[in-house]
Amino acid sequence: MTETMSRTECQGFAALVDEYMDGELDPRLRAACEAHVASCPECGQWLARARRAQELLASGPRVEPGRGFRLALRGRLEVEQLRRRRRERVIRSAAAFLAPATVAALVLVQHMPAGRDRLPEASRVTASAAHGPTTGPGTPWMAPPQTADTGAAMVRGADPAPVPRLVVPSVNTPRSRRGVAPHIPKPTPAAASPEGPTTSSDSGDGLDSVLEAVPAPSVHAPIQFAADRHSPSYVTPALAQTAPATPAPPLVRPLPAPDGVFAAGRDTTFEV
Amino acid sequence: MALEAIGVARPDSIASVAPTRVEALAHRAARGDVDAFDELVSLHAGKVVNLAFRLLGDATDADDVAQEAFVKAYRSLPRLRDRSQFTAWMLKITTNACRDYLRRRGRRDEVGLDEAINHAGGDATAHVVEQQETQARIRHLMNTLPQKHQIVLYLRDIEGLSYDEIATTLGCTVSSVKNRLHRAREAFRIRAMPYVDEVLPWE
Repeated sequence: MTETMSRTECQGFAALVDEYMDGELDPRLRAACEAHVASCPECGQWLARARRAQELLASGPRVEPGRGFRLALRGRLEVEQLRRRRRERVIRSAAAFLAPATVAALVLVQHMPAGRDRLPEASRVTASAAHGPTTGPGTPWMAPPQTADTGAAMVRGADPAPVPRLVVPSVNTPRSRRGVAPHIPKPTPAAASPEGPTTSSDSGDGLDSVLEAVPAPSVHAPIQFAADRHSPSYVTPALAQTAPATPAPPLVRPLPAPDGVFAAGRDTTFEV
Repeated sequence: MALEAIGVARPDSIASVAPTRVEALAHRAARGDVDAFDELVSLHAGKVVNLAFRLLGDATDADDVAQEAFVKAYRSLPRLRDRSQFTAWMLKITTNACRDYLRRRGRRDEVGLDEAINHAGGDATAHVVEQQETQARIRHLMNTLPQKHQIVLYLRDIEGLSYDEIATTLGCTVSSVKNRLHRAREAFRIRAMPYVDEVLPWE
């Protein structure tokens, strides 16, 4: 029992020994430690060794900074200060250049046509309606905004008003891009009815025959075979010019209307 | 004591410098004010050089490394968030710089021990050689301790700061100082006791 008590006291003393050596204990605990050291030879011996270790650590000469220490350091600090100022100047001038450039780039991006898929349509309509037939695609970002919007509306079919309109299927689209074979109406000499659409070849013969059935526009313009005419919603330049404000029918295949009118869709182009 | 009572800083004491003053100087120095940093150097040079000397064992090396540590501190000061902790941060930079220096020089402490013994040669007495060897061993023991243990041992057992002053310097509570110091001394004693018995035989 006494041994257990002593061991507990030794553990308590070991926990307080540093504060005891440093004189940081309050008088009551200090007295308890002194009493324990006096009664426990092991702890007394251990305390003496700990004190010697501390003395050993504290021993040794103190040094002062060398004579030129402050002066040499001051020189190095001033060099550092110059470097820092130069760095800050470079950063400031870079920021002064980059900030307006970034703003200009953002403004430019915001005023560009919205989507990548919109650019070919805008360029095509621009070429046909604003500048007449051309041999190549126009520059999309040079197109007047209203023209580009018209083209986009025609492509998206925002307003499905039943206006006679030719929407030529993607007859010239390469098969690798189309995925499935297109269906175009088979033209007959009697009537250009879209009943029984047939698969067209890629030669463009079907396209010509369909175009023949279209009522002749007042202003005739040649069909423009621009690079982007491969789009499934290709519109002849003449029609784009005669009815620029009329939006195109929707691209999705419409359901038959209840009154029996077959609305224009992807593969059909005329009202019946 | 009388000097402290009238507000005069005890010479060569970090903790006697008001933390707000150090913090204000650190703020100015962080904006690139060399004069403010120079003042910080004057307040800390003694401690930094002595800590470096304790860890390196050579006064010239200690000067070089202390300068390097101050330049690093000047460069990095804008990134120090709590500027009131400049002193503790500076001591940490110093121990890191010493460690880098020792790494570059290889096992400098062992070399120092041999050099010290050889250097003493005929001029020095056996007692001086023994002292130098002891110092080299203590340096070696200190260098094997974790950085935070080195700093707290240095501040308490070498600089003789009180617990309150250490708490102010390190920016922690007094109970944390007690805890750290206890662990640091335990670690040091475990390493030092065999040597203590060897060099300081029982009377």
